[in-house]
Amino acid sequence: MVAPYPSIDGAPLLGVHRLTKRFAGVVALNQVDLAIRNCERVSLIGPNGSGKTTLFNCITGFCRPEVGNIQYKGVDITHERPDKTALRGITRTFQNVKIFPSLSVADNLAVSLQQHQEDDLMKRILHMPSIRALDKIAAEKVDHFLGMIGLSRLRNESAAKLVYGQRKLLEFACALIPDPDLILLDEPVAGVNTTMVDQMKRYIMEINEQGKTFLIVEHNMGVVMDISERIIVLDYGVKIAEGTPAEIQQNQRVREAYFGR
Amino acid sequence: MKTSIQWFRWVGIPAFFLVVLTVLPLIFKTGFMINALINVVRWTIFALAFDLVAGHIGAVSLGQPIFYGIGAYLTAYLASELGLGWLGCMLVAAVLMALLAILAGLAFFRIRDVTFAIGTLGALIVTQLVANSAEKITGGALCKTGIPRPEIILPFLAKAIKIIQPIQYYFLLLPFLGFTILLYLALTRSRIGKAFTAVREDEARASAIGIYPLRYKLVAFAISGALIGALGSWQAQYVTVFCPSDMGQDITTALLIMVFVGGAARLSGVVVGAVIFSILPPFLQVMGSQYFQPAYQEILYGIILITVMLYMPDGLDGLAGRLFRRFQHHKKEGG
Repeated sequence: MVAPYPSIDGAPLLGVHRLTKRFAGVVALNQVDLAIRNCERVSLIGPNGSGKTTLFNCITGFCRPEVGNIQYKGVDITHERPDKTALRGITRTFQNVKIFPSLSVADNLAVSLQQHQEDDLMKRILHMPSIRALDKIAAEKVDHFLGMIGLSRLRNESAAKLVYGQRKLLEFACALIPDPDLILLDEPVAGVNTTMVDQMKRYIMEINEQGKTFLIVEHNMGVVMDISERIIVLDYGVKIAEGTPAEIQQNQRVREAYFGR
Repeated sequence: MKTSIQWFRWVGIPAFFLVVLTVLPLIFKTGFMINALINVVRWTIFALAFDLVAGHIGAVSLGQPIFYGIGAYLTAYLASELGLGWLGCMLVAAVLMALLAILAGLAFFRIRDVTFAIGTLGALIVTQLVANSAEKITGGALCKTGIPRPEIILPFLAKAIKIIQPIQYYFLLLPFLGFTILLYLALTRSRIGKAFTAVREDEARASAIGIYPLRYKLVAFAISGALIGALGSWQAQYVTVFCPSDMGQDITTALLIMVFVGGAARLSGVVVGAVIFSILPPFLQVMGSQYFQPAYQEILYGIILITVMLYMPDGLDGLAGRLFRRFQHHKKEGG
């Protein structure tokens, strides 16, 4: 029997229960519980090696936990493949930016959407009218997101030509284009300039207002405090605190995790 | 402008290529020419099928001649023992080789990169050894002989046409090349092609956008296996003799050089590579150059392949594209 999720009002969009993951004896996650409600902006913080990315990987199917379970919209997705998790409406970005360099900027977005639209190999090979109709819809969405991130003029350029900040934006837009409910961002502002940090913060706030839920791993505490409604803190794979930005700032255990006793 | 260039590249060039291949044997009817053209068509089909896996999926399978060999042996059995017609043999070989590719893919796609290449090469060596020792089925080192020649029955002709002349075989093979090019384009220019690229470039990222990498790898592998199996079936009926050495590693070496020197994952690149490297060796041998005997040829191929991999990773097609863009850039600046 699955124990109830931590006390949070309303049914959670994502529930992680007693999750444990080990790598060759090293406990990366230890009995982690968390619940994310619809339309929340939650940040996951902690020192390096605290298990944040491992938790992301478990939620998105890239890691198989030994113990515990993950529920999304009430469905157990603990052992689902990453592609199935994505098609359920959980998209993500990666700590090291991942785009497809030999595809054009527009095709990076189009390929991120196509699997969510249809999955019929024969129709694709024969380029049936239904596929052409979907291509048209995809082209409109691609235009919209290119406009949003300011890369319209580079739409036909190879993504390999983009600079780091532009790659981050493209990866972010790729996570948004399938219209997911839950978006996991792994260090969205790492290594970008202050203008782009502000830009990214604005995008997150605006898209969240449109009803999307964000779970964000970030080391930039200024950004975390600005955008988060709630913060969850991990240390050595254990959840040591959870609360509003103000509560976390005052939390003695969190300070010790970052600065030592 | 860009659209018309793309249209020319994707439709114009293949159509022109097929027209040239249709017209040439009608003008130059020498045996040497017909054999050279058969070589070109056969290697182009082989290289396009190989490129679906090696170029588009990025899984360099060194074992593709397995499908060729089994397709040929299968045809020997189906045609001689069961009396199946030439087209039936090719279709059965294609279907069974697609199934074999799916089964083999389920095992081999658990490994990747160099391990995958070595694993598939190992499978080829084992298959050749089996073909050598299973004398009752394959004829062993003495080869499988007496494979029936194709017969074409047309409704308005009282008698079946027996295919004997190389030019007749050539015109049986040419539509198969047309089909292969169409299928290649339909796959790689569609949403499937984008998914192939995604899987090749970053499997984790592909999974994160809802693509199941194994599925697309199996699709490419099965279609490649089917095309090569059907080609093996045609080859068996063409030469009427098939030996274990006909499915050797020299085929893999030739495919590697055609695809990677021409330009992997590009139709024009693969076609150019296949044309150059299927014409060049017999042409040079006829010219009497002692340096292009098979032993030297392998060494030369190795050197060319290493040089291209290091200095021209996108092959001749990529080089031509860069030169064309530079020319356009200069023209724009000049104008």
